[in-house]
Amino acid sequence: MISMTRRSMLALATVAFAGLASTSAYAANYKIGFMIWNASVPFYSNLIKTAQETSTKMGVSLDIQSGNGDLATQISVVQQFITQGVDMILIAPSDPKGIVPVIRQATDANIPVMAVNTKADISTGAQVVTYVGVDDYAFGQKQGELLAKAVGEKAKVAYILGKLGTSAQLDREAGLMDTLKAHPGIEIVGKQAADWDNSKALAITQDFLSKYPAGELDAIIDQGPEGVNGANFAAENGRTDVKFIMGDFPLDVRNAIIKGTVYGTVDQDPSPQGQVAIEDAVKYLDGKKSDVPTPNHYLDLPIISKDNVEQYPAAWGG
Amino acid sequence: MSTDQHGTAPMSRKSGLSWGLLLSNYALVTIFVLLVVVFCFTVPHFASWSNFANVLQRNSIVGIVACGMLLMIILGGFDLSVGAVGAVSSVVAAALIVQVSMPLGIVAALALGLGIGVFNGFFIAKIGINPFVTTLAMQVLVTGIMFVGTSAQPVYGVPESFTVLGLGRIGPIPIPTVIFLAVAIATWAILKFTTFGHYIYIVGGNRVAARLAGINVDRVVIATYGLGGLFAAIAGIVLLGQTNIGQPASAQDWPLSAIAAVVVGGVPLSGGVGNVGGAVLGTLLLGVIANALNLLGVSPFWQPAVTGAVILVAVGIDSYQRRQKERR
Repeated sequence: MISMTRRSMLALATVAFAGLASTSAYAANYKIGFMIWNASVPFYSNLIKTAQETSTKMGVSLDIQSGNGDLATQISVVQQFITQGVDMILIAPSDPKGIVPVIRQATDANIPVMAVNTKADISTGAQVVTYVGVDDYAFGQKQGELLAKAVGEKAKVAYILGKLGTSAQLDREAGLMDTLKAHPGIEIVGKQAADWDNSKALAITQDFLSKYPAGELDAIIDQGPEGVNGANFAAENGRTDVKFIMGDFPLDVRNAIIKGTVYGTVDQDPSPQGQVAIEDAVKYLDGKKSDVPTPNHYLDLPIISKDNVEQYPAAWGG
Repeated sequence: MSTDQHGTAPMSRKSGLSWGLLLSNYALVTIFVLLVVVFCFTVPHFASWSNFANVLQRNSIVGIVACGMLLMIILGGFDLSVGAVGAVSSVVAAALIVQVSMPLGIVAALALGLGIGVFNGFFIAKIGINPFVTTLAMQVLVTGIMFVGTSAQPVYGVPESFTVLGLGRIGPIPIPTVIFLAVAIATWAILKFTTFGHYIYIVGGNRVAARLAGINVDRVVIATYGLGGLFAAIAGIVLLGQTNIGQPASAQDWPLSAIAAVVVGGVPLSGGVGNVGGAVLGTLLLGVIANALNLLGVSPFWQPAVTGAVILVAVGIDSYQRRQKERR
């Protein structure tokens, strides 16, 4: 990510100047490295923006690097941070277990590590300051609650999954399924994976609508926001018998909720995650360790439907 | 498939179809028709026009890309950058439609696709980098620049009327399919009626012989890759019509899907042979199978495995036939 480095270098320069001008404001000019497994995913753009803004405001130099979706690259980015001797490393890894060895390397070098947005596996003793983000299991549970509210106690529902094996896909599914245990009348009649891809989600929605003609399907629930075109397609083709529930809250989902083609969604807003991550990191480095919630610093996951959509700005794409 | 790709008369190719090609195409048509008939009886809700229309609509995009890929494969190459071209053209079209006007957005996106294709052709023909490396590098380069330009943010705000292009219908026929049909017919006409089309076969069959025969090989290569880029850009605009957002991270699986479609359609990667019917049938065959798997509710874990097996079997039958003919 050329832009990322360049921008962060600019931020670094600004911060250096600010540091020179007012040396007393912050005792130490912390250097923080932030590895994001794939910074080109649209979801991360607002997270990156708020992280950069917050660090400029707090006089921290922030270096954001992308792992380009590849585990080996993610590891080498973190190793580079260790070599550079940063004060703290923030990570958003693609795989919670695969990142553990390099977390240990950082710990050996006395550099604290914090997980942001995606989790790292701490069950085997890897040391992580905290996890700032949302609980995807709770996300799935909230989708389940919203679903039950939308369709009542007896319903047939089709389920569109994200990319199979990603932690968001697995945890959201587990959360939804566990919530539905309390609603035995709601039956998941089909599951397909759309890989977080708009045109695949549209194709799967169309096939669900063909497979279950009018009256045989009550709702389609999507783990991500990609199914919104499918919802609009259904409305245009007279399938208003099917209610659509999305995950996440970009602009097109917001518009669809206002229009009525989507029943509701659960809003995982990336912007506060970037801000809180930097704030927590600075608190920790300032020695106020007890102010940082551990082992998880979970942020809010508002449920959004027609009733309250006007109060919430779109999480991204706005 | 004609077994004599090297050194023999370009004349037989000029006439379009050799015996082997015909046979193999009929085999593919037979497999396709049989499969559709079987699905009609065994897969619930498969046999309805609205389902067929859905299948046509969603596979038209890959079909358009596959037509361009076919040209490049006949030329003895292929293009891994079609996905990046598709994504960048949909992003550029979206941005210009929002900022300036719809016609400008479409024209600029098409010109960009053509331009990137011409660049590919230039590096392959004039500099002599092989197609794999050239188009792989181009894919990464284009994707990178696009991410820089957009910060990986999708471009929103395209008027909803634009979805006509991706989701609309003329009578019962989806508009993307009409575009696909037009592209397929254009490809067929280029290959069958134009000198340029005949040159593609000859260069793909034997580049040295083509040069010795006085054909401007470089120009043929550049033009062919230009067309491949142009077709990918057309597909990108149809994609924008389907999703209504210019998404930088989209279309990543186009190159392999399009190559798979062409190869399943009985066109060997060695170049020099192939026709557009194969590419169209290959696209539809894979599309119909994916649709049937969805309708049957086959687990998403199994679906890629089934698709992989189909590619191996289809291409296997074709290659085996060809080897038998060679032995004869």
